[in-house]
Amino acid sequence: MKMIIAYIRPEQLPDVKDALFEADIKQFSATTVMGTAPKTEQRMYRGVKREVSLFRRVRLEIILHDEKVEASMEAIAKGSKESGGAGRIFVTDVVDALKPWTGERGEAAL
Amino acid sequence: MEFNAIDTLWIIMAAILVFFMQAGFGMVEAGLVRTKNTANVLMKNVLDFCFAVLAYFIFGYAIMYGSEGAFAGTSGWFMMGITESPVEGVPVEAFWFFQAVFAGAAATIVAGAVAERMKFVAYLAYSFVISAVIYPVVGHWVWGGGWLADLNFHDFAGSTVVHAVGGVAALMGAIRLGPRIGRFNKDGSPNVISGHNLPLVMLGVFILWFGWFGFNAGSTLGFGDPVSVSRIIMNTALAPSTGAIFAMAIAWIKYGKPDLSLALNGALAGLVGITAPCAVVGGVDALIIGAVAGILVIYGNIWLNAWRVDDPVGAVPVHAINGIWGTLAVGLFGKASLGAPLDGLFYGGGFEQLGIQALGTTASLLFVAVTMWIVFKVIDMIIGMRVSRETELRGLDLDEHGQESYSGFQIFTTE
Repeated sequence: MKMIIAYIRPEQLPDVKDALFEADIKQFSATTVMGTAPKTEQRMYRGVKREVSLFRRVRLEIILHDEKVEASMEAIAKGSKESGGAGRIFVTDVVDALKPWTGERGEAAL
Repeated sequence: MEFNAIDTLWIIMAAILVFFMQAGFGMVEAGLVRTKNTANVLMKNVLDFCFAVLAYFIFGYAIMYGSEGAFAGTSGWFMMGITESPVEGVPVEAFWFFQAVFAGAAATIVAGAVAERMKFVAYLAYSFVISAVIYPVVGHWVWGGGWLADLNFHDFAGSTVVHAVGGVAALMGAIRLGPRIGRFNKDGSPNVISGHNLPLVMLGVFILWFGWFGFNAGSTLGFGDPVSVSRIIMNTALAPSTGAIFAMAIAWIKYGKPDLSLALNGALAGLVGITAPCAVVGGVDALIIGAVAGILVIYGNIWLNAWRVDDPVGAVPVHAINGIWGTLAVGLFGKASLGAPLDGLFYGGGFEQLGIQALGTTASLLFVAVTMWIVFKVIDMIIGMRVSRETELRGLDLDEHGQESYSGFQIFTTE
């Protein structure tokens, strides 16, 4: 059982979501986060220069069976490819899980 | 010259009410777009009014009221040499202001339909042209002694002159630009891109309604006939009410739930529908006109989706379709005893007035459609109409203006 954590730009979410659905990965969550980028950006506000270093990003969390990890990473990469690609995709181990209303544990709880 | 203080006061007060409608348009459009484009659409609302006033001062008034002529007036550029208004006892400056805020209303209708994808600078160019030339030409035909006025075409406060002109210009803009990214699927079925702030939309609609009392009742251009002013006020309260009720009801039946934004569109539709006939119909007529307007606005939205035209705020169903409906309603419900040129079809007057209304609105809208198509085409060739894909995705606020409308707020954006 693994967890994928991926950082993408907000405008990439519709395409990434479609790509994940196509790969038959239909359980995940998305949150808005602020993240740094390789380059800062200069913006003017009422004539005053401002250095912007945190940008709005979407963080995807997908918990799935080991054999679907490759497929989900590919789907995120594919969905974000047209608009510049995903920031990073991370994979970690998940130790346990519980589905409270059935009492199922571990992989069975997915 | 002897001036009539009450008439002048009424026109100025009504004009100030119409001026405030600009805020209403701004709030409606701001609420119906996504957060990332809010500052951009507000900026367009501010600047199209400023350019409308400028253009109407330099060119517009001269074309609309400068001199007689079937097609357009040709003197009085920069208001030079114009000392008298067409309304007896009212100074020309007051009359100019009343007309200028109407020009601003026509111009700003387009902002909503082209929202979230039209370049800011292209929009500025458009807003000057419509107020300088296109709106004044139609205005001259109908109100400035042009050929439609000679035919006894009756458009009391501007269902055609203001709303359908703005609405058709909006349609041309929306068609030229094409839909927003993600608005239609590959198979042509529509997606939802929901507005971000319905409270603002509701506030905007009531500001518009508030201003509309000046828009319609001020078009008497005087207070000499308090009965007429009072009837217009009553009709301006009635028609939008049935408009909202019927739009809500149809949406409720068709989609299962009463939709706030469609009910509000229905109120605006009723207002546009009653604009032309407000002075020459009774209360029951106003109720029916509003009800039909409310139904039309729902089907207008459906037609636009079927044609894959993307109109984020419903400007075309509200202003174009109901502008035409309101103009035709004069030929159906108008009463000669209340000041219509002829009795309408439903009051024994036959088809004559209806025919004149149909001719007038068709000719005006064809003129606007053709000229606006050319204007948008030229703007597209010189500066480009649409922002880049990247800008559209990031939002026009950041890329065109470098600022966010809701800085510091945690906003979930999905595209």
